[in-house]
Formats: sequence, structure tokens, C-alpha cells
Amino acid sequence: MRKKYLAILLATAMTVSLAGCGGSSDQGKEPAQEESTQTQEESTPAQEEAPDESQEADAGSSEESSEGLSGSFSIYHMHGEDDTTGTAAAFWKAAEKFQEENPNVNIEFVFTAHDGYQQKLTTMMAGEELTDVWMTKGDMLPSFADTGTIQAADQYIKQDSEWANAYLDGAFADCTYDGTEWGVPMQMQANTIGIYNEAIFEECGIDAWPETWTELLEDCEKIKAKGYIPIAMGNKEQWVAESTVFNTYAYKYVDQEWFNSLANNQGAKFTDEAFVRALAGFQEIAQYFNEDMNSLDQDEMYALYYNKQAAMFFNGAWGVGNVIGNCPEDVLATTHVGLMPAVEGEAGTKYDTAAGAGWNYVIHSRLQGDDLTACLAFLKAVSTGDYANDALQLGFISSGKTTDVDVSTLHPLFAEYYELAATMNNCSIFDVVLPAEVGSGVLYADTQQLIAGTMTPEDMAADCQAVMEANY
Amino acid sequence: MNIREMRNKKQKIGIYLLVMIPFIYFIYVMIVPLGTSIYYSLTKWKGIGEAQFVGLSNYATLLKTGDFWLVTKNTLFLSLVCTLGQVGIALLIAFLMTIRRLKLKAFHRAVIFFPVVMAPIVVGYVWRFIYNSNYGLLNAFLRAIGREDWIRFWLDDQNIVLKVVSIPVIWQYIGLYMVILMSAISAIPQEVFECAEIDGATGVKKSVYITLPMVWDTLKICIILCAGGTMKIYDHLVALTNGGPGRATESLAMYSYEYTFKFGNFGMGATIAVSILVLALLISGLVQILMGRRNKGE
Repeated sequence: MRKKYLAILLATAMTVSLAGCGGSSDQGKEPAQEESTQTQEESTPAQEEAPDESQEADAGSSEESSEGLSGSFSIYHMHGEDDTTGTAAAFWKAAEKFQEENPNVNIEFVFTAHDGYQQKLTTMMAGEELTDVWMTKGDMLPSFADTGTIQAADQYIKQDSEWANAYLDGAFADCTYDGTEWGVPMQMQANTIGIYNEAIFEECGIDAWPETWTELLEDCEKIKAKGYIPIAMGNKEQWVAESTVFNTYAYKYVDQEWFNSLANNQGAKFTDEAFVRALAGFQEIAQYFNEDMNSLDQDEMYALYYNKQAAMFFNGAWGVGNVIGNCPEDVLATTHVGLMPAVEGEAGTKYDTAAGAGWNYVIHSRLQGDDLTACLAFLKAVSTGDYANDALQLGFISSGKTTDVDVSTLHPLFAEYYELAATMNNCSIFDVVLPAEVGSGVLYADTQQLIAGTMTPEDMAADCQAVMEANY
Repeated sequence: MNIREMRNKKQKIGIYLLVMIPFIYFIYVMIVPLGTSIYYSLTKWKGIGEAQFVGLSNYATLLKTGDFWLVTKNTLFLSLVCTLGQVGIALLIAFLMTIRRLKLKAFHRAVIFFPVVMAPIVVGYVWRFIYNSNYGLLNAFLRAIGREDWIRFWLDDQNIVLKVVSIPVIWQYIGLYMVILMSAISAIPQEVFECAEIDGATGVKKSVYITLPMVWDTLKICIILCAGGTMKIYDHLVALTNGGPGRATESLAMYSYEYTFKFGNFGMGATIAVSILVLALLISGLVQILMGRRNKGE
């Protein structure tokens, strides 16, 4: 009898362990499962609304905006529903409003957070499981466009003059490839803004945010002498130093034209003298970062600032949102923002900043007819009009033009950033435009070595150029 | 089932059918993907559109890439250090566990085995906090014992970082090999030891001349498992340093992942994956040859 029980027990154990094996070896399938559960969740509201079709039809006829819009499409995005940051909150506000107005449109939302977004997109791409609409960066545009996977968005946007005029200047820069605007932008973020604690500045005898690079270096020296970290840096994930600091710093030496020429193989090179000088200058400022810069991540960098260990840091516009959301009251009260100073003797000004839309919505070429019409109306709703105004109230600048902005209703720190952003001269973000092997590969890895002092500016320039040439 | 019981044909067919189930499963989840990987390693494929057959050009490019050799060197270094550390220390502890006077053996075994059941990513994060230069345990300890001069930026210093990250990996898996080796030691007949004791063999001599040769095959398995396993190292490094500074702690698995999912270069990603396989096979072959010879010699 006992043996029998033992046998049953063993059999169960074996089944369980086999199930375990199955789980781990089928990793590739997991995302698909996630998707389908999400799909179910998302489609429930639509199903609930389905019985009210007669009501909808009435509403549809009385309202111009939903003139019998019907259809269905799926969208892969990175706006978490529980996410309180401005980008996500504004998206959901606009999306919910759209769904209320267009109950006959069935939208399937597929979500992945920003950090794993690109990886999953690549997987979906390889598995031919792309949704009807997804978000992509400029570096992947050529792959999609050249294979006919996506259809150009500008052909539709230009038909609707109200829509076409609803965007800020330069909003389409990051989704333009081969003269065609392929995507629909949703944001206009500066990749670099200086965020500093005025109280620490005063304690160190500094009365204002530096206007020139020399002043910044002098200020850093004063701050260091008082025992603070002059500039907080958290570059473990490798992109923070390059994308949020160096990129804008480089534009103090080179200009947009140089970059266009580099990106399109028209003569400019990483090894050009001006760019090498930029690398050398950046290596010099690295002495004022915290010494463990390459092992802390972005959140730990914020923590250095919040704990009053660091006097300032450079970060993208999202950093402003993070400070407003998470910074202790006393530090927040004395926090201000400033533009990265210009370098004396170089052509760039303090207004030159790496900024842009970054991510854009693109439409699969298989989407046609009613589904396409519905999808275009949705994309208009989540990138322009009320969306733009809501976005501002929620603390980020969208790609759409805003109407009647009352700056006094904005958070004071965000209002400061908003005013500075209006003065910025937006330049292309390196890692958005350049091929991933360069933009998110060698540039990230080498910048980390550059600031660690284990690579010379000349070597880095040569290394980047070699990879760039292999990827033209 | 006993061999003598497998007399009739029906039973034989039944047995083969049962064996076929895991075999087909194995082919489906191992051999087929392996074949696809090898195929993609011969193509230029961005994950979209048609894969373009390019022959061995990915391999040629890879061999010319300096970063590939750097990460290969990193991986081989980790593989060597981890094998020496994990299996070496495990063997030592296993020998010590045979001492009769040792108290609380079960307790020691449990404590040493404990890290094995933790997820590598957790171990990585825990050690990241230990190494943190500001509030990390290690630097706090050095400060407490008054050796400020030993304080380092453990994960930022390119000269030491690879050695530093190998410590958590070694620490985590000592328990696994210790348990394997202990079970091998416990399988040695007691009579052999008793004979040796009568002949006057003491602790160290017993270990070297009796225990070691008796567990030689198990030791070989441990080394192959460990060296091959470390070739795939990924999680620890992602949590500890994410491959940095630069590529100083990047492993081949991370490099392959980077090419495949960050750069969307599936062809090159597959090429790197295949090269991991080749290296792992070479290492296990090498271990077989080296350790097999010694076995015959005895």
C-alpha cells in the first residue's frame, strides 16, 4: 500500500517538474499569453458597450466627430494604465474620451513598459506578430519602411488641414525617412535640462545658474570644495550619460547640419576635429560626477540629488516630472532648471539642445478601410487637440499645439521648464536617428569608458566611426 | 522494469513509444531551434522581411570585431575562475565534511547550499548593494576595521571589476557542487577507508589518495557542468554592472542578446549564439580529454 502512495507521489512530482521544464523552455510564448490576457481585459469594455448600439448610432449622428466611425485595430504602446507620469496619464485620458465618443471602434491595447519595449517589439517583428499600430524610434524606421511594413502617415495627415496644422514645428523630424513622414509624433521632449538645488548653490557662494562652460567648471570646483557631488550621474544602464548629457554637449561643438551629414554619409565623421574636442571636453567634466557613476542607475542618481548629496544633475524633461513627483518638499522648493551652458570659442549656443519626438506611432500597411479611418481618428485624438492641453497640465510637452495655456496653473518647476523649452533650438537626438549599432551600441558603451577615463577621445571617435561605416 | 521482463515484442514497442515522447519533445525544443539558429547565423536578417543568405560573412565580420574578442575573453576568464572557485572550494568543503569530529553537518550543508536556490538576478542585486561605494556593506566593513585604504569603487574600476563580479557567481554555486561531490563521497564503501586507516593513512592522505580518485568521474562532470554553465552567464552581470564599464564585464550571452534584441540584428545574434555553443563544446571536450587521460594513467 505504502509503495502505491509513493508511486503516486513520485508520479506527481515528475509531472510538476516536467511542467516546470515546459514553462522555462517556452519562454518565447509567454509574451503572447500576456497579450491575449490583456486583450481580453481591454476588450471587455467594448463588449459591455456593444448592446447599446442603437444609442451609439444616435450619439453618432448628433456628434460630428464620431460620424459612424467603426472598425477595430490593435495598438502596441508603453503607456501603463497605473502609470502616473504625464505621458501615460494624458494618453489614457484621450483614449478613454475617444472610446466614449466612438463606441463602435474596438481597440485592442497591448502594453509593455518602456524598458522592455524595444526588445519585445523586435521579437514581435521577427515573429510577424506586429499589431496594427505601434510606437517606434527613428532608428528602426528604415527597416519598416523599406520592407513595406508600414504606410506613410503624412498622406493622411495632409488631407486634413486641421490635423496637419495641429503640430509644433519640427514634430515630424524624428519620423522622417527618405523625405516621407512615416509616423505620428506624440511628444516633444528635451533630452537635456540642468536641474539644480539653489540652496546648495548659495551655500557654495554661487548666485546664479552658469551662463558659460567655464563658469560651470568654476562652480563645480566650489561645490566640490564644500564636499558635495557637483553633478550627479547614474550611468549603469549606459544611456544616461550619452543620451541626456553628452548629446546636447556635443551640439555646443557641432551643429545639426554636421549631424545630418554624418547620419546620411555625406562627409561628416565622428573623427572630425570638432567632435573629438567635444569628447575631450566631456571627459573633463566627468571629474565632477560622482565617482561611482557607472554603477548607479538613473533612480539612484535622482536619489543622490534628493538626499542633498549632489548639487545638480542633467537629465531629460522626464527628470523634471520625476523631481516634481518624488523629490522631498524642502529640496523641491529650492530646485530650479537651466539650459546647458555654451562653451566659449565654440559655435553652439546654450539654446542648442537635443530634443524631439523620439517615439512615433506608425501604422501597419495591412490596415485599410474603416479600420484605418478609425485608427487615424484615434491617433489624431492621442496626439493633438485636448490631448496637448491635458499633457501640459500633467507635466509634459506633447507634439501638439496647445491652446489658451495659463502658465500659472502649471507646477512652478514645470512652468520654468516650459518657458525654457520654448527658447530651445531643437537638434536631433543621436540615439533616435543613428542605426542602433551606433546610437544605442558603441556610443553608449564608449561614453561609459570615456567618462571612466579608460578610453581616449581619439580612440572613441575612431571606434564610433568604424561602426558607423559598417552600418551605412 | 527488469530487463528479463521485457520478453515479448508488445512490451518492447510500449517501451520505445514511451521513450519517444521525451525524445520528440527534446528534438522539438532543442534540435530544431538549434538548426534554425545555425541557419540564421548564415543570413543577414533584421527581423523583418526575407532573410538574405550571406554564407559565412557574419562569422568573418565577428572574428574581425574587437569587441567580440573582448567579451569572449571576459567569458572565458569567468568560466575559468568560476570553475576553479566553485568546484575547487566545493571539493575542499566536501573533504572537510568527511571529518568525523565535525559537528552540525546538516546545518553547514544547508547554509552553504542556500544561495543555490536563489534566483541569479536576486543574487546580483544583493551583491550590488554589498559593493555599493557609498552605503555598501563591503566598504562599510572596511571603514569599520580601519582599512580605508582598501576601499575601492568596486564596480567602477575597470581593472578589478571582472574579478569582483566573479565572486558572487562563485559564492552562489559552491553549494551545488558540494552536494554533488558529497553524495559521490558518501557512495565510497566504508571498507576502503577502514583498510586505509589500518594501513596508517591520515586525513589528508585519505582525501588525496582514496577519496579523490574514487570521485574522479563526478569531479569531471562537475567541471564540465560548471565551465559549460558559466559560458551562458547573463543574469548576474545584468544585475551587477549591465556589462559595464564599457564592455569590461560583458559576456557572450549578453553580447548576443544585445545584437538580437537591441540592434535588431538577428543574423549576427545567432552567429554569436552559435559561437557560444562551439566554445562550450570545445571546453567540455577539452576537459574530457585532459581528465580522461589521467584516469587511465592511474
